[in-house]
Amino acid sequence: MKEKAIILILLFLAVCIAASRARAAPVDYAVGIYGGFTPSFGGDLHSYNQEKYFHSNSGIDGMNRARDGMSTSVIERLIGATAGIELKGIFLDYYFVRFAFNYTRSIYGGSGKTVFTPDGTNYYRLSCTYSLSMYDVPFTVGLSIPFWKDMKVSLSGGVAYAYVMYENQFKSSETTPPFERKGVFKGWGLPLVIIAEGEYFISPKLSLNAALSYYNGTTEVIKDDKDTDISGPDLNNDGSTPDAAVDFSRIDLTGYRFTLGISIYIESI
Amino acid sequence: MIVDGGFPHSRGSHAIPGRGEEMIRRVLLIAIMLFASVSVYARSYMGVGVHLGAQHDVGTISKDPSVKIDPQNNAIVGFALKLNLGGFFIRSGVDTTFLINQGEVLENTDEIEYNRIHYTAIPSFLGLSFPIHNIGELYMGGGVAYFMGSGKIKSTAFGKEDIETTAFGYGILMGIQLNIFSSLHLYMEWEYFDARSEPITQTQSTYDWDNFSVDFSGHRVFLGIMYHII
Repeated sequence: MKEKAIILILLFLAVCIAASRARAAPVDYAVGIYGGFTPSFGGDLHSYNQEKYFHSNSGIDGMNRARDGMSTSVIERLIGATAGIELKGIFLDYYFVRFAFNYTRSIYGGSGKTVFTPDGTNYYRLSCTYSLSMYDVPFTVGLSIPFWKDMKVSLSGGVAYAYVMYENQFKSSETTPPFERKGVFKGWGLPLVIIAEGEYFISPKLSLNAALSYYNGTTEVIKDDKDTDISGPDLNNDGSTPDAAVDFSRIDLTGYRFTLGISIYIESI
Repeated sequence: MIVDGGFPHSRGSHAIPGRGEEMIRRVLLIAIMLFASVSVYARSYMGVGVHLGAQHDVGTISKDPSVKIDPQNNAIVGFALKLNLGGFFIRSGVDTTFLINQGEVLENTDEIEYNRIHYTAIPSFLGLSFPIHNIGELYMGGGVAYFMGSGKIKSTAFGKEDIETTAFGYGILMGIQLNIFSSLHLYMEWEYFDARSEPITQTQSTYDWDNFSVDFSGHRVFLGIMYHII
């Protein structure tokens, strides 16, 4: 991860230096911090075990079930809180390169109780827990349109390096023996990024901004990092145990983010 | 299995009520308090608008890659309340959908054959607005919405069934506003929401449980006219 982040930093600096030297034009810089949220963080967080043993082919969405006489609760998709720091190099007033570092983690959703059956006859409650965290380093280039000295509207696109950690846990005290399984998936991806941003200048060097980001991509299929030596019931009624010892998942990095922040503009060096 | 009258589902009271409803009541109360206290900030106004819009793939049955589908499309009619306080805005309103075409599974169905979903949504957004002198403004925000849905589905195993449910969701808004006259403005908005109901009915014959949830998630686009009251 460090090597890829260093490559993006060097690329950002190289573009800024080349732009300022090529046209003998100054490059202005801006530093900003921001925070926001992302709905449906990680998508449906589907994994192999959810499909093979718990009859869901759509992750969290398919895991939600209810049955008479059994107390269940809705497992909602994750809401993520995100925060980050950005550095922009603006040249020729309209063009810019942007480099940022973001951290996002799930803060709401991802836990509840559902129903499953290993044999179609006996039904058990299953407690499910999902969580996701992500570091991402986006690098984008774009256009900025200033409107007088009050505001700017910007649009940029590029790619991000994203490192994610996804954890899920399924347990039931009603099976014989009781079942518990935890999965940990660590991996990375290179989602494409598009960012639309509006900035309002409250002073010549200080702006308030709002940004809408769209990420599109996934990781490769990741094997569960946690070697779980489990004993448990026959979850799929095939006569062999243990079941669900290994899990696989492809983590969905696609989604929207909304952030609010402030930026400080630094005169050209 | 028909849900008769009000909400939650047909199989008894094993849904957990209250959390979503309590949160939307708090959000609406805050929005009403702020709407009622328009102050003298610069560029502050209160506007009322009406708009038309549309949503593609209502119910998102297209998310199943194993089936060939003709997704449901809805037209949307609604009104908007917008309060600008300096650089911040609050936008609420009510949106109601009308069916353009139902969603149908054309090939390889083993659960749902078609769905017709209608809903009324109450969104609330908070964000930043960026005025562009006398031309108009750009605005972006995040928020929540309460969905009240009803309709009909047909499953292979159980036939036609009326459905009725609610959901609470989170979303994002981006819009632009163009000044026509001093108090009359044209606006265009894009919204994205993520919202799903609890499971309300059974569509799988193999298992004895409610597995079908109404998915209100998706993108909506509006075009409307807003009048600035204050």
